[in-house]
Amino acid sequence: MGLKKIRQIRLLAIYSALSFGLIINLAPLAWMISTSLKQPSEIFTFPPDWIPDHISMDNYIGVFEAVPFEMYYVNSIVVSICVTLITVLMCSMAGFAFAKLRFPFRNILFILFLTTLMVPFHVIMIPLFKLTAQLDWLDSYQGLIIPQITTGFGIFLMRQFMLSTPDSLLEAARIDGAGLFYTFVKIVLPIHRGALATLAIFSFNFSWNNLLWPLLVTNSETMRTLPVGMALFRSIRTIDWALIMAASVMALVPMIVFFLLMQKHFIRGLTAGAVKE
Amino acid sequence: MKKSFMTILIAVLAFAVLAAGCSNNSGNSSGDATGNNGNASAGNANSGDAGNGGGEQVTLTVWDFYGATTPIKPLIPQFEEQNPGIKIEFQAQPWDNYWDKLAAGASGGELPDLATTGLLWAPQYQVLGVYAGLNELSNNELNGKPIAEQFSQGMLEGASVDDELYGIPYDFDAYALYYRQDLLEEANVEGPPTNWGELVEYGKKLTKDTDGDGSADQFAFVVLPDWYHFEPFLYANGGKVLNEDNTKAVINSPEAVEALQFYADLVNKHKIAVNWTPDRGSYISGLKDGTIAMFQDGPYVMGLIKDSIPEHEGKWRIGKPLADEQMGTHLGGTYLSVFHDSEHKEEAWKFIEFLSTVENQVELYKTSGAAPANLDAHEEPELQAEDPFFGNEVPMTNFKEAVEISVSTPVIREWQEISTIISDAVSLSVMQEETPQEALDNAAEKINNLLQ
Amino acid sequence: MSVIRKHWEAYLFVLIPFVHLLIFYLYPMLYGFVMSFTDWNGIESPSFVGLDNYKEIIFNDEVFHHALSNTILFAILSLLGGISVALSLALMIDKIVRLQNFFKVAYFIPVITPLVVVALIWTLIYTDKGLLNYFIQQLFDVGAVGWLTDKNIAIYSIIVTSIWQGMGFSMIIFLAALQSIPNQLYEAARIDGAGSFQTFLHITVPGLKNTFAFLTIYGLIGAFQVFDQIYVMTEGGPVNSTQTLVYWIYSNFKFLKLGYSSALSYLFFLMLLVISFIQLKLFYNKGQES
Repeated sequence: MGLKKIRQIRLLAIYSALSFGLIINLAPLAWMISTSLKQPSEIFTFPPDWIPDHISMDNYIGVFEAVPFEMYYVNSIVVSICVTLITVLMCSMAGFAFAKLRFPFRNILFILFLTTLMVPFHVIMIPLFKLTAQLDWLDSYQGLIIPQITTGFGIFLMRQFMLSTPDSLLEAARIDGAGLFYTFVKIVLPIHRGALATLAIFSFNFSWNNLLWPLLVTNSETMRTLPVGMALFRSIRTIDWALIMAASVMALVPMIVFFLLMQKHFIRGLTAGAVKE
Repeated sequence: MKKSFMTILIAVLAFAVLAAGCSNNSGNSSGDATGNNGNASAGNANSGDAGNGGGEQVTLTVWDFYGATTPIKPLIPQFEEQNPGIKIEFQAQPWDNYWDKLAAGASGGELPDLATTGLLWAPQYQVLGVYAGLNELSNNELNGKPIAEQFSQGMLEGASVDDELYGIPYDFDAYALYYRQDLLEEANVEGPPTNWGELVEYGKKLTKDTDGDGSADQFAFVVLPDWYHFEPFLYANGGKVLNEDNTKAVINSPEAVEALQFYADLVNKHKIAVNWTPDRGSYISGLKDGTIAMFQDGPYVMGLIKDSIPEHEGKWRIGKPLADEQMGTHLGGTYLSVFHDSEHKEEAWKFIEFLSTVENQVELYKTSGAAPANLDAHEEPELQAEDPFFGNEVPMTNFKEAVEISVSTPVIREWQEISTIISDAVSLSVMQEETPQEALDNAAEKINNLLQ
Repeated sequence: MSVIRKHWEAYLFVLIPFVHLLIFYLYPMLYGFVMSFTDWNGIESPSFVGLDNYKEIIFNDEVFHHALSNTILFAILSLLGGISVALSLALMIDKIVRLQNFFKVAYFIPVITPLVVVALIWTLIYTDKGLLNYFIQQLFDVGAVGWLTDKNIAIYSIIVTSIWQGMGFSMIIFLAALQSIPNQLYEAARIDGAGSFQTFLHITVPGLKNTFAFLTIYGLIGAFQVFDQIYVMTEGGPVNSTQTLVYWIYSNFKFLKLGYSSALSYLFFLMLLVISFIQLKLFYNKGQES
C-alpha cells in the first residue's frame, strides 16, 4: 500500500513540476499566434493583450500577397529533407566507423571533423561563397543543400551513441559471415533508432531555420527559403510584426510535425533481450 | 566479401543519384542573372532572351533592400514598357544582412548592376570604390535638371567622396518634432517648443504623475540613448563629430559636451524625459499609452503611428526640429547606386532617372510612405495635402525643412564603428555611469585610434 | 597501400564525409587562416601584415578582453545550468506515461521557436515594468531591477534565457540515451531491492556517462559560440557587459575588418581546440566504451 502511494505522489510531483514550466515555454507560441491574428493597431499595447479584440486571418493572406510564400515553403521542405537525409546517412556511417572500427589515422580524422564545430561561420563564409559561385551552384538546390551539410556535430553524436553498441552483437554477426555494410544496416542502425532520430531532428531544425547561407547563395525569388523570405518583412526602419508572426506560425508547423514523427523512435528497451551483458 | 562490396556500391550510387536528382531542379531558375554581371563574359547580348529584331537586350540586376513593401517593384513594368531593350531582374534582399551580401558578392564577383543603398549609414562601400562614380554618367544632370538643384546639400554631401557622386538620393530621413497637440492644450502650453529653453519650460508642465503613485508616468519627451537621436542635439549646439578633414575627433569639444549634458539632463536633472532603453522594445507602445508627449524622429514614423495607434487621429502634429544655436536634425535615407563592375551602367542610369522623376517620387510616397528625396516632388498635390490625422496640417513641410538644414555624417570608412562608439558614450552618460565629458573624451580617444 | 587495402571498408565508410569536409570546410578554413595574416576589407586587395592582427587582439583590444571573460563565464554557467535542468526534465518525462509526448514537444518548443519571438517574450519579462519585476516587487518590496540594462546583471539574464532555450536540446539527447539503457539492468536492480536513488546512482548515471561526455564537450563548444541571443537582445551592451567572442567577431566582419576578424576567429579556434582536447582526454581516459 505504502509503496503505491509514494509512487503516486511522486508522479503528481513530476506532473506539477513539468506543468509549471509550461507557461513560459508556451508563452512565445501563444504570443506568436495571438499577434498573427491581430490588426496592427493592437500590437503595440503594453502589457500585451493575449487575446485579440478582432480575430482576423488578414495577416495570413497578407503574407501570401506580399511574397511568394508557397515557393519558399516548398524550397525549405526540399532542402531540409535532403540535408537531413544526407547528413544522417553520412554521419551514421562515419560515426560507426569511428566508434567501432580500427584503422590508421582514425583519431586524427575524428579530430578534424570535430574542428569544424569550432570555427564561426563568418570565417568560412566568403571562401565558401566564392567556391559555390565558381561551381556555378548559385540559385540552385545543390548550392543550398551541399554546403549546408554539417558533419561535425552529426559524426560526434553518432559516434557517441554507437560506442555503446554491444561488441558481442558485432562479433556474432561477423562470425555468421555478414559483411560490414550488412551488419551496419541490419544490426547497428536499428539499435540506434533514437540516435538517428535525434540527429534527424537537429539537422532538420538547423537547415529549416538557417538564414545566412541560403541568403548568400540565392537571389532569385523562386529559390529562396522561408527564413530568407521572412527576413524581407523587416524593412529598413520597421518590422512588420503582424506579417512576420503569421509567417512564423506557418513556418513552425513542419518543424513540429517532423519532431513528432521522429520522437516516436525514442522507444525504450530496444536492446532488451538482444544480448546478455 | 562480394556481398558487402555490392551493398557499398549500391550505397554510393544511391548517393550519387540523390545528388544528381537534386541538381536537376536548378536548370530553370535564373542562373542568367548572376552570369550577367561580367565575370569574363562579353558585353550585352548574353542574357538568353530573344532580342528585339537583332537589337541588344540588356538585363539589369537590381538589388532592393526595402523588403516586402518595396516601392520599386510596382514601377518596373512601366519602365520596361518605356524601354523595350531593357529588362529588370528584380531581387529583393533583407536589410539586416545587406553587408553580408555585399561582402560576399564583392569577393565572389556576384554584384548587381544597381542597388538601393544606405550611403549615410554605411559609407565604407563608396569609400572603397564598390560603387560607380556618377559624375560622368550623369553629366551632373538628372532628368534634364542639375542634380544640385533637386536634392538637399546634406544628402548630396553624404554620397560624395572627393567631389565624385556615388548615389542619387531616393528617399530621405530627417528628424522633426512630433507632439501631442491635445496634451499640450491640456497643460496650457502655448505651442510646441522650438528651442531647448522652451523644451525644458514646457516639458515641466507636460510631465505629470497621473495615477498618483509618486512617480511620473506621463513624460514630455523620450530620450533614446543612441547616436541617431543624440545627433540633432549635437548639431543644434554647433558641435561636430570630426574636424574639417576628418582626421581628428572633436566629439569632446565644449559644444558637444554641453549638448550631451543637456540630453542626459532631460532624464536626470529636469526629469522631463523617459530613458527608453532597447530592452523596452519599440517606443510606439509609449506613444500609445500616453507615456510620451513629444519626440523627434523621421517621416516614416507617421505611417507607423497611423497603423498602430489609429485612435490618436487628430492628436499629433509635426513641428520644426528643436534648435539651440540653430536647428539640428539627423540625416539618413536611401540612395540609388550603380556598381563599379556593372557592364550596363548606361541602362542602370536610365532606371535611376526613371525612379527619380517627380511623378515616380510621388509614387514612392504613396506606396511606402517614405519621404521623397527629390525636393521638387514636395510641391506636388499629394505631398501638399492636408492630413486629418495630423490636425489638417501638411506634415511634410517641416520634414522638408529638416532635410534642407541637415548635415551629412563624415563619409569615411570607419563611420559605422564610430557611430557605435558614440552610441556607447551617449548610453553611459544618460545612465550616469560616466559624465558626458568623460564619456566623450573616451570616445574621442577610441575614434582617434581608429582614424590612424 | 596495403594498409588501405586492409582497412578499405572502414575508409569507405568515412570517404564521402571526408571529401565533403575537405572541400567545404578545410579549404575555407585554410583560406580564413591565411586571411588572418592580412589586412583586408573584402573589396580592395588584401595586404599582408604578419602577426599584427594577433598582437593587436591580445595586447590592445579591450573589447576582446571583455568578450573573453564574458564568454567564459557564460559558457560555464549555462553549461552547468543547462545540463542539470535538461537531465531533470529527461528523468521526469521518462517516468510518466500519459502526456509524455505532449511534454516532450512542450519542452522542445523553445529550441525551435524563432529567436525574434524568444527575444521579445524575454524582454517582456525582463523589462522595467515587466513580469519579473512585477513579481519581485509584490514579494520583496524592492525597486525595479534593470535585468538587461544593468551592466552587472545583464549577462546573467542572458544566461537564463539561454538555458531556457537550450534545455530541450539536451533533454532530447538525454531521453534518447535513457532509452538505450537496457531494461534488464533496472529489473535486476529492482529484484535486488535497490531504492530509486541507488538505482539512479549505479545504473542511470553510468549508463549516461557517454552522454555526459558528449553534452559537456559539445555543450562547451556551443556555449562558447553564443551569438544569437546577444544579437537579438542586447547587441553586446550595456557597455560590452554582454559582449561575447563570436559577436565581436561578427561585428568586425561588419566593419569590413576581415583580416582582424579572422585572427579573432583563429584565436577562438585555438582556445576551443585546447579545451576540447583536455576534455577528451579526461573523459576517455576512464575507459573507451559504455
